[in-house]
Amino acid sequence: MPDKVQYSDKELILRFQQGDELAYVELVNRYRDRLINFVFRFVGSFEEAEDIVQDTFVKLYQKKDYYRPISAFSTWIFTIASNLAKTELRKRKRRKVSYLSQIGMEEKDFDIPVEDTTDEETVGEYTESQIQDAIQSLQLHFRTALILRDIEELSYEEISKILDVPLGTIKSRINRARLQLQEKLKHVHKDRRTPI
Amino acid sequence: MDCYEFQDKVSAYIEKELTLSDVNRFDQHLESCRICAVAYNGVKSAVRAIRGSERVAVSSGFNDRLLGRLQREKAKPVSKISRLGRGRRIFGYEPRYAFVSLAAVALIVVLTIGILPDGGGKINPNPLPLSTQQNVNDTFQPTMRSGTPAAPTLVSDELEEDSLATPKDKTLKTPQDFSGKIQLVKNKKK
Repeated sequence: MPDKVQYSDKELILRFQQGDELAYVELVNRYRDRLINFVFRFVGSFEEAEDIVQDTFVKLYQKKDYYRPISAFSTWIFTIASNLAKTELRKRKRRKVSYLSQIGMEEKDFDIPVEDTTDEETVGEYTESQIQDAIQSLQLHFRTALILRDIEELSYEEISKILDVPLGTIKSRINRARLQLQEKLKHVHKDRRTPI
Repeated sequence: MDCYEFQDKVSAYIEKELTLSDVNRFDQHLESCRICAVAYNGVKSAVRAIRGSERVAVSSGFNDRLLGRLQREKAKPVSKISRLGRGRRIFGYEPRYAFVSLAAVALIVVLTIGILPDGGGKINPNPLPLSTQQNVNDTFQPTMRSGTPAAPTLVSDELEEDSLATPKDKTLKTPQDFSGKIQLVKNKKK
């Protein structure tokens, strides 16, 4: 591939389909950070997120011929990542259930380490972990739509294609996700203001 | 605009997707309802917080690890079906789905042939059970021609004993055998 030529995503995937592996590397470089942000916000663990992003690129390599240029490449790659992330969350849920059944569903007190957020970077009025916790507490379908809109800054149309859900439903989900998020963050505010 | 409608339209308002008349109604409600004003400001600051939140990046060596994984994946033995699946399609399906569909169709055909009488070669034109069909045809009496319905009579003692049993001494009639009787009924209706 000649240097200093800015190929579009579609051109790159078409070149990769014809056997140009450098085009594949270029696509990886272009999308790895966008995908890690999306998946990290989705699953909440950086290590797991990185594994999922690796799986996404392995899938891209193996299934490159399944891509058809009728849709945007970004839509396709985000769909793969989103499906893999959902699968990971389902696995995690199953592991949690089997763990609970192993301990006999007894109520046990666990010492949860309290995170020291005093040095943490704040975004406006909230810390990073408060934002992340609030996102994580949203239901899966609200969380996915919200991350794609407000972190990835994708258009409503793209999100609708990625999640295979009608446009109106996507708009409604994002609105409801934001309303729920502000409710959760409002409590954070209250907790912070409460004198100890 | 009421509070429900207001909350439904918060995102559209923030993203400037509302019509001018809706913007005016939204603004009016915003000024008059304190609860909705708090919610609106909360949504705005939440969106600002998410959009301004820290972006993460993959750790160093990500590409090397990925290429290592790809090498390992390439070294794995590939099954015959997977090999067929690389970009090829059978009847518009992925090979594995095509095989499963074909197997399902074959199974249905085999089961259907096995269930039908005479190996599925002939189709029974009458949905009644076989013994009932024979009973109906045997009891068809010429008295019907008179125009008054005949009183129900029992013709076969053998059938009375066990109506489900197939008479052994009677041969099954083919659809052609009934054609004359069907004609009789049609004439009677006229």
